Amino acid sequence: MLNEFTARPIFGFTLCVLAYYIGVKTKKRFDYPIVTPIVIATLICLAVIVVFDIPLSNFQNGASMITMFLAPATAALALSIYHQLSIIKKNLIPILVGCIVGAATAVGSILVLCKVMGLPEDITASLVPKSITTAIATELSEKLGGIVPVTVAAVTVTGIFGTIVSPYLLKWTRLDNPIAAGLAIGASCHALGTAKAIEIGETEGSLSGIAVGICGLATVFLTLFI
Amino acid sequence: MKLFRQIIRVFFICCIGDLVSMVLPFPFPGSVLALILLFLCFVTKIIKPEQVSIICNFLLKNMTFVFLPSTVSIISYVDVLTPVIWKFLFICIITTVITFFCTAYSVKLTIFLMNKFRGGNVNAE
Repeated sequence: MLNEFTARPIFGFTLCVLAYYIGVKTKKRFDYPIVTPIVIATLICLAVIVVFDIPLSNFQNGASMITMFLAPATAALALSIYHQLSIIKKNLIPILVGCIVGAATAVGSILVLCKVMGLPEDITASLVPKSITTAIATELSEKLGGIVPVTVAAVTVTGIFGTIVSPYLLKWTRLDNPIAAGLAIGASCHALGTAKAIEIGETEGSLSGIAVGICGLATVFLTLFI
Repeated sequence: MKLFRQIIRVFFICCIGDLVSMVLPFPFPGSVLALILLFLCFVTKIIKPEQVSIICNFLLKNMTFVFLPSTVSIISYVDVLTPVIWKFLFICIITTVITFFCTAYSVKLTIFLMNKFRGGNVNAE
């Protein structure tokens, strides 16, 4: 009976919503970089799946409906880019240079390191888009022949690491220019980094948000050539 | 009905994005095409931002929620990931730092050169 019940779409869907809700509540209570709603929610879902021995395909019957919202969520980034249009126009050249350099270094350094360390091709393809926002990264990973969940893990690790270290990186590099700081944070550690950039300063926050969108696009165009 | 109309606008653009992506001869994500299309709609005033703001702001605010099914699926790939976990983490961390430095210094250099040659002052407000 349990198997029949968990195969219903309503089960996977409800579990996801509930787990994420608990994740958001936990984040409000314990605000550490490692505590993010997605990490907490993942652990809760995995715990339920393992404890009740639920087949992943049963869970996905409901969860796949949530995945469908990936495309609209990516499209919604257009709104946040549009809201920043005046700042983009004012700093067009630094933004373009920063985002193209950022996307190229991320993709280049990942390809070189994966090759040097002898990682299998599917893992390499999953890592290539890891510095950009998950919405674009997952689609790109799929197109490149990567494993989507591995990409999401890489993006999350990058984001959490970036959130923890970016204030120190700024201090060590004595980076006093808010435009350079914002773009660097957005290009290297996407939306999770942007949340940190907003705490550092308003200009840093907007520029970081812009970098997330434009680096995502730049990476997609770059990968057409690899 | 307002929310329905907003959903129709955004999802219709997503459908076009997917269709175009299927026709294109090279791999290009349909969702990114939808992003570009929606942005062009804003610029050309075909769609006003407030005509999609409820649905877009909801999605932007809760973006990570839509990745939950993907992160949970990692459990199927434990076998693939375990042998390379240290390399995987090393690459994630080191490339983040490299990207940070390269972006930061290229922007700093660009602003420096622009100020020098144009005599202009590049500032964000």
